[in-house]
Amino acid sequence: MTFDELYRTFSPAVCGYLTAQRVDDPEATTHDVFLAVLPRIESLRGGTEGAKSLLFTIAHARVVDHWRRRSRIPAALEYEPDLDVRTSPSAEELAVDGSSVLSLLRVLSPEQREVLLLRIVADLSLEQVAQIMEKSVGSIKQLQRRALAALKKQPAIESWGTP
Amino acid sequence: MNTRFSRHDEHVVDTVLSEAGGTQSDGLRNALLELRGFAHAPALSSELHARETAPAIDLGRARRARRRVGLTSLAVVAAMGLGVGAAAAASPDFRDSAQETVAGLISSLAAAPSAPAETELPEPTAAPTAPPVAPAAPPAPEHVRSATPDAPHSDAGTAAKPGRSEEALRRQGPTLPKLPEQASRATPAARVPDHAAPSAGIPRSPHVPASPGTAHKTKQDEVASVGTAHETAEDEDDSAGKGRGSR
Repeated sequence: MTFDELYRTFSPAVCGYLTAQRVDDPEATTHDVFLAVLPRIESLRGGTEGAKSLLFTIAHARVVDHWRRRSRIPAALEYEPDLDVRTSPSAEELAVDGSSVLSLLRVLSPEQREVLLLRIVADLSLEQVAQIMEKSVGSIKQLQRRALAALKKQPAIESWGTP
Repeated sequence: MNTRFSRHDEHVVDTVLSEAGGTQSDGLRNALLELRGFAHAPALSSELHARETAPAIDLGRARRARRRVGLTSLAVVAAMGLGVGAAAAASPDFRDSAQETVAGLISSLAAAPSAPAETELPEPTAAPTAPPVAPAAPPAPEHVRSATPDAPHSDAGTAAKPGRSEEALRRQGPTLPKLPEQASRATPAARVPDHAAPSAGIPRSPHVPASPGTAHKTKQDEVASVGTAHETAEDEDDSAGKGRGSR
């Protein structure tokens, strides 16, 4: 698989994963991820799945770095009410805001959110996610189960997606 | 965000839901499908795609950088040329000197075309032909200077070195063309006005402070100055006349 194919195939998923993780600049971080893969492209093993696993391993590391940095240094960004996680959404926002699927993930712990995003957005297997998060497959299954249970408890989830 | 989901998307979500077990609601499935939509984020800029072949990019950059350096140096040289041209257009002195230089070069080339190393030598010889006309103006200022506030300055210069006599000045004379006579004249002419100026009412009086400098002079100088007082008066008249003439 050439780098071009790799980029075309996985850059949307990587960017979507980073966006769902609320990284400050998802596109730039996506570029960073692919630039980190570029020197290793010759030594890649495992075909497409191996490349995907490596890509999301690097993306996961970038996310962890981002949140660690964010915990130390306050983000110097313009105030955007939509991105302010300290506020609770109003009933109108919950009813109207169609892109607030990410707001559903607020109730999840970081690890639960990570597992869901890696499973659904990155389309990785349980084993791959376990390898990336450096946990056992059983603990990943447990995190996934708890994440879905927490989502299910959300009041808005029952009527989600129905007009 | 893409709201249409492919079979693969549905398969991914269904797999996750089946792994969790239990009965899952449609609402949760829809929410997870929407989350799956993040995998189809809008296409990114093709910047990275263009950089796929890194060595080619590096070479291109290097070429561009070299081109840039060449263009920059060319622009700097052109700007300097324009500046020199503007200076030549603005000042006639510059043009005159340039014309003299060119004329000297041409004449020297015409005289000795076989020895290009010596072509620069005739230039000084050609230049003195012009100076006689130009220095004709400076002497007048010198005389004027003897009668004007600059004279006390020359006095102060002699006062600063008390051991200096006229002979010493004459010894220095050969180094400065036409100065020895003027210096010998200038010092008395400058001294006398210091005392005579108040009566004469010549505007040199404001520079009386130079007189303290004369107090340090040797007796010989004083005698010489007194002895040449009448001469300096004449000189003064002459210089004044010249000064007026020059004006």
